[in-house]
Amino acid sequence: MAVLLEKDRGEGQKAVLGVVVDLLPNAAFLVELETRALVTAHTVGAKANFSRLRRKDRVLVELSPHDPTRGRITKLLEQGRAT
Amino acid sequence: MITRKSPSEMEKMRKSGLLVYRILQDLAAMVREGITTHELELAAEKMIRDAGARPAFKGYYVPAAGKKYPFVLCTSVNQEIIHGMPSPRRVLKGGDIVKIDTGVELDGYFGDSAITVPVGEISDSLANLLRVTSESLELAIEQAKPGNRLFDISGTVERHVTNHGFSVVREFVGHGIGTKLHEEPQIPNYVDRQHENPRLKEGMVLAIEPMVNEGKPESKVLSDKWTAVTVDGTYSAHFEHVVAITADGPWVLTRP
Repeated sequence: MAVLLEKDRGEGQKAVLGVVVDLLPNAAFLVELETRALVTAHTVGAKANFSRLRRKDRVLVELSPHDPTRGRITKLLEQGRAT
Repeated sequence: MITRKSPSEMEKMRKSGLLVYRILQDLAAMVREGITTHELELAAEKMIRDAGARPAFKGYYVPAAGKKYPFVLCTSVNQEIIHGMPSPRRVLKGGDIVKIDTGVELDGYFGDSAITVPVGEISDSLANLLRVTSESLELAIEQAKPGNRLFDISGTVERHVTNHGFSVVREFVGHGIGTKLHEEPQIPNYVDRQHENPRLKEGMVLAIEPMVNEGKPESKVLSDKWTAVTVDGTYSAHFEHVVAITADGPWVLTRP
């Protein structure tokens, strides 16, 4: 029995809340998830969006199915400096 | 993660594989003008139960279909590519080609194989389709050895098929197999650089299954949520074997 091809980019992974903890080189960010795990994440929609992200911003992160320590930041929820 | 099977596990998979082989051979011998795919289904179910095995397909659920597959066989006729459901209303006639696909679980390990069987006399072009599809599987099997990569398998199928003027179905793929019917990796019959291209290692067991269309590659799924057909209505062929990767090369578990 054959399997329907699953394209990784099509897969909707559950998005989790996180807080930007640190800025990493190459427009990547260290994000602490609500599960307390730390992941490296990059912004969606190219480097244009990354300049708006700062520490303590709350973001939505989609985790990679292959590597749970990597994710994509899909949404900026709050640009809070007041946490 | 692609699991690797120990020699004793491979022996168990060998038993499942040979059972599937015998069932397909017996079913192929039954195929003739006037028989229904339902009769094939009944025969297959009996063979599986008599062997003390469990049918792998019946009751198998995939989210994409939203419902369990209700039969032990897939019988796909002519422009049906795969996952065609046996029916008392589907009467085989001369010139048809029927793809028979089945899987079993025996002693915890799965076997999965498929053949395309001509009904009576078929046209030369159809005979060619079957031959090329079967050849592409054989060539792919030869690539299943340690040191190669997945794309060696995928690319070999794609090249052989397109060289002969046919097309490769892209929406459905082969798969790893072991204690589950479908395991990692996904094994497309074409190369797409966006896919992963893992190294093949001793102990891996792969179900390679080229699906080849006479005309265009596009497929669609019918309202029964399972049967996949060619969009342009041309016929499709399918062959599948389970191959274990060993230090001495590929070991086809689903054939003696």
